[in-house]
Amino acid sequence: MHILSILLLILAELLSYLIFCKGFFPTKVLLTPEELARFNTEPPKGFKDPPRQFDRVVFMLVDAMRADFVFSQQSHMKFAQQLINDGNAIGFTAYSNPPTVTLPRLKGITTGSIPNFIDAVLNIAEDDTSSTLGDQDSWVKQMIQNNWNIHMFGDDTWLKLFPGYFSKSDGTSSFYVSDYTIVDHNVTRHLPEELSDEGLDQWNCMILHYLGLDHIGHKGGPQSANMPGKQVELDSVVKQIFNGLLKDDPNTLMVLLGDHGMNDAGNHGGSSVGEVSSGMVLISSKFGGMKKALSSSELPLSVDPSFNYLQNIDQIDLVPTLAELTGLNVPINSLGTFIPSLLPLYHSSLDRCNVLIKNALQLKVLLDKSHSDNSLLPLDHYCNVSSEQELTDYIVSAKRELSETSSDYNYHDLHLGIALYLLLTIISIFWFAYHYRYQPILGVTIITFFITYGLSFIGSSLIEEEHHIWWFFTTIFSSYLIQHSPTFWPSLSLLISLRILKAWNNSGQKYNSSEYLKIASYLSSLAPKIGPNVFAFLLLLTFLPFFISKVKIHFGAQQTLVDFVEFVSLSMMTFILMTIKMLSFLTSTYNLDVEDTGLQKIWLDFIDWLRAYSALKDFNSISNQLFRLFHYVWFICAIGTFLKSRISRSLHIPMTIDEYTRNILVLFTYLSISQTNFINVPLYGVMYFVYLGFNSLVPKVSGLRLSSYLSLFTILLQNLSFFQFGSTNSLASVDLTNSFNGLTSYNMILSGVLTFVANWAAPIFWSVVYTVMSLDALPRGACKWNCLYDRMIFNLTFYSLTGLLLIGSCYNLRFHLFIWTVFSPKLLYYLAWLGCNLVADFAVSAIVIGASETEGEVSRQPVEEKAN
Amino acid sequence: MKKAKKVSFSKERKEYQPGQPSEVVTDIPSDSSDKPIEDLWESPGRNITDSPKPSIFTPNGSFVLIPLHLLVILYLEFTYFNIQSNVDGALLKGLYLLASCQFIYGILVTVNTNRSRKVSKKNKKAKVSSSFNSGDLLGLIFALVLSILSSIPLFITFILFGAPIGSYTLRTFLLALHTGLITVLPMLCTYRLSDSDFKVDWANILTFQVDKFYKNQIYSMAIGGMIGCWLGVIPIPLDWDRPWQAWPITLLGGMYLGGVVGNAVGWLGGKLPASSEQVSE
Repeated sequence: MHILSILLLILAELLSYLIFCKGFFPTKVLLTPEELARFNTEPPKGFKDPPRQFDRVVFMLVDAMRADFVFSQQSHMKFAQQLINDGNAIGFTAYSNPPTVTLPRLKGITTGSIPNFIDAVLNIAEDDTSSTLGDQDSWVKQMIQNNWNIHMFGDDTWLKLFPGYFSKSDGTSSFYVSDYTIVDHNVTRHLPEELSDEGLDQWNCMILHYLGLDHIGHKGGPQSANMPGKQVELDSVVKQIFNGLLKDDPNTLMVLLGDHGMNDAGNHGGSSVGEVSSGMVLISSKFGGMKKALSSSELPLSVDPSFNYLQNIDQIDLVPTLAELTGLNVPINSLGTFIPSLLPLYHSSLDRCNVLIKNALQLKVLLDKSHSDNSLLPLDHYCNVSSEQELTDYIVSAKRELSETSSDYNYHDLHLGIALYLLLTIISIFWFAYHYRYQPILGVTIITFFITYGLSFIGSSLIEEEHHIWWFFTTIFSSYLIQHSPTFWPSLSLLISLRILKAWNNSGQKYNSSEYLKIASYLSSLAPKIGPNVFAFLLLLTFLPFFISKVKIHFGAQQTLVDFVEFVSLSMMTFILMTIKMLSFLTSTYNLDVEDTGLQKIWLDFIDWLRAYSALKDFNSISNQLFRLFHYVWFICAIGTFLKSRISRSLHIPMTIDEYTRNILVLFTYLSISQTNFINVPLYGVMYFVYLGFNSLVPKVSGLRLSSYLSLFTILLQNLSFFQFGSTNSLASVDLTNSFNGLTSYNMILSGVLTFVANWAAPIFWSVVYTVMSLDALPRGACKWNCLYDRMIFNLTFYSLTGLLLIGSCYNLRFHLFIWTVFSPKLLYYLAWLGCNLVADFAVSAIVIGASETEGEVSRQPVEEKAN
Repeated sequence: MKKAKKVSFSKERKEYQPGQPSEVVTDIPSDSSDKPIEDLWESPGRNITDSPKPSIFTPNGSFVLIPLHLLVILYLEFTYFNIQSNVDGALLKGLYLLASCQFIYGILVTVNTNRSRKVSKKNKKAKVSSSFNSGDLLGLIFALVLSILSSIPLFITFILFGAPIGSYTLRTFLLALHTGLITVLPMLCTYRLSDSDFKVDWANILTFQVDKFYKNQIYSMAIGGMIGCWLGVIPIPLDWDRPWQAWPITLLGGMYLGGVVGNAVGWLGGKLPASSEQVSE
């Protein structure tokens, strides 16, 4: 049957897309301790650990400290510059691997690995506790294993990464971006105590993380008026530490570095030159004894737009350097190389070689593993272990090879994926052309729309602001409909509800901030006296149309027991859902723990009542229990609905298709509502009116023309409401609040399904609406599978054409500045859309249509042929 | 037989196709082509989409009617009024200028499209050269007031089609005023209140049932302005961060340019050879 071949095509499409993605996001495999033992090779003869140079480290991390903030003429860090000029410090421009966001950068700075894009994705997939580095080797872990005491002051991301590692810590939250004095004062105020004689006994390593500079950047950019003052303040901290500690103690090393830079607007996250060029200064009075590596360049340097100040290194080079200087093992997954300008610290040639050998042995394990080389030749086989030059060449080439495998594209998979996708696109276009052979104008219009949308993938801002595109097309389509059948009330209903849908949430990147007030943010900012009442009213309004639409069929008709059971289960689901959503509104909008919540008595009673009946105190477990109850009732209803038509047919009880579709619509709407963020729940009422308005406006046609209109409308509304529910094409907007509804324990598959339904709730709703609308409009005698067949041809062509344009665009722009920040997230979102096509648009519709009982199944001819 | 009600969307169509089973009804025009078109218009259940209504009056095109002054005003908006730094002020000042220019343009339109269906071709020519009388002046003032009032429904339409409300309400309303003056005023000068078929004409215009719109210089100017305004939203989301991407500068520019282009298209379309027969009929 045609449907089966379409299913095959969809699966093949998904498969070739996955092949492309596999080549696009090569996964990085981390070395485990077991593998370390397996790939370890004997060190060359005469190797012994090089002597440690420092026994105390001050690690001062200044968030977003770009190289020019320290080295250029515009810098106000005069003391740090003086230290470099005097030879007590060495300055570098350190390359931070994108994504230039604090968390991945901290991972890079401590473990020495290069985070790739998939890391950023996995970061979202992991819950909060598993984003730690507890099981990964880092210099922090090495220090703990060697009984170092670490004190940490500053950004609490460190506490999240290394829980329980620090013997003393004071974390500051990085969320209060508008504040840039208190966050830093909270760090600096510890210094006098820590630098006192008693304080010094308690730590070997002190980590300071200053956030103020980053906050100033976010607010006012690198040229902000607050920047000079902040640099002077940080400079005075350096001075305080140097004079209080380093000056007299040559065995203390101070590292001053930025985790990433910033662009000219003061933001970061991408890979522009300003964002990846962070500054790094290593300070110790021991360096004075070294002969100065770069005597020629005297600071401050003139402003360089390409940020080439002093020596260029990779930020991850700090990891082996720091480990070796402090006599620790190099973290096993580090890809860094020892910074060559620090080699003169070791006076004997033997020590210098040993330093390099230690680094080389660590990299060799990774290299052997990536070659899956089981011969395991010793290091002497590859280079002359007594030549510094050869060792340096070896580690540099090892680093290059390893970083290439960890971030390069797999061209074989990329090309294979594109070729397969192209083939499928050609097949589906031919099929589409054949299917639309009697409606050429319609077909060409649809294809033009697909291509226009697909062409938007070449622009990064068009991807970021994709909701505008859907709004644009949706309004064009609605004006077309209204122009063709200008009936007043449906038009008004359609336009107004679409406008409310648009006004509900912000989407996109450009204007997506709270200052652009939308209905959702307004609702949650209402005072506790009035807010719950308004929300409860909206909830009632939302459920009312669905409730009525299902119940009204039975008005006036004779009631049977089945009807009564249905009514009870429907009321139960409605009631549970309203309770859950009301509860989550109350708990997330207001602080219920304080004595005076300001809520009206009825809501306090409501909460008390819930607590009393569930015998639970915690709101999360209350709503979890309610969710479980809802899921049971829902499953029973679903089974009942699907079986009912079969049973009633065998019992010769007349059941109209109308009744069936109503049941289906309510059933799936309730499922979508249960997984929707509470603030978006009223949108279902709005979307119901969109559906009603459209249903009376749709041209009075049938067959392929009708299903084209319906499919077009569905795909427009699926995307529009997806974005207007607050989603964007950025991974940051994935909603995880409903991922664990009703789950008693962590289950990756189930919570994955719940996350998908939570984020694609609106598209699933519209997909069901399509099935309902087309079944309702199905002419007597027509094959019911045509509903699905028409839509799948439409969707298949849509997803193959736009998908081809997307992967083509990503392939073409794979060295683009925004490839990791804009295009890759879109690639993943698109994968989820393909999943939605398979699961919601195909599978759910197939089940719904399959379970429906129409009288006209005798006729197997496609409708459109008869129509002509 | 309960289902019979749900059989098809095309209940209304059944009235003129009683012989055919309902499920094969489609929208393709060939269905109705065997019937004389006039019959369809007269039939009570007439669906407005079936076929175009009888053409409304198409005014004679003229080069004089190409609204080149709009280009000048648009240029002044960017240079003299400095819309990029002071959007509200420039929109307001531009509005005064536009209103006075459109008033003069309205005189031109009135004189040029002075029409009466009763007069013969020869008389019509004489009418065109006739002067602008006091009744026309009154009509023009009335048209100006009406087109300013039309900004309210236009404003609501803009909002419904996605224009921002809140801090941008004033700007959107000023844009609606500009739109009213550019699109509605010349139309009101062509299809006047005093005309006997005013209602029919405007019903057709508002539902876009205009025959040969590409030959109707005034109508295509309004449509061009609307389309230009509509397309003007496209640059706003792009990340170029230019001051002219602010709301609603691109829409304003699109509308002015679209108006001029639409008008020019109408003028050129009117010059096509087939036009003379159609107009005289």
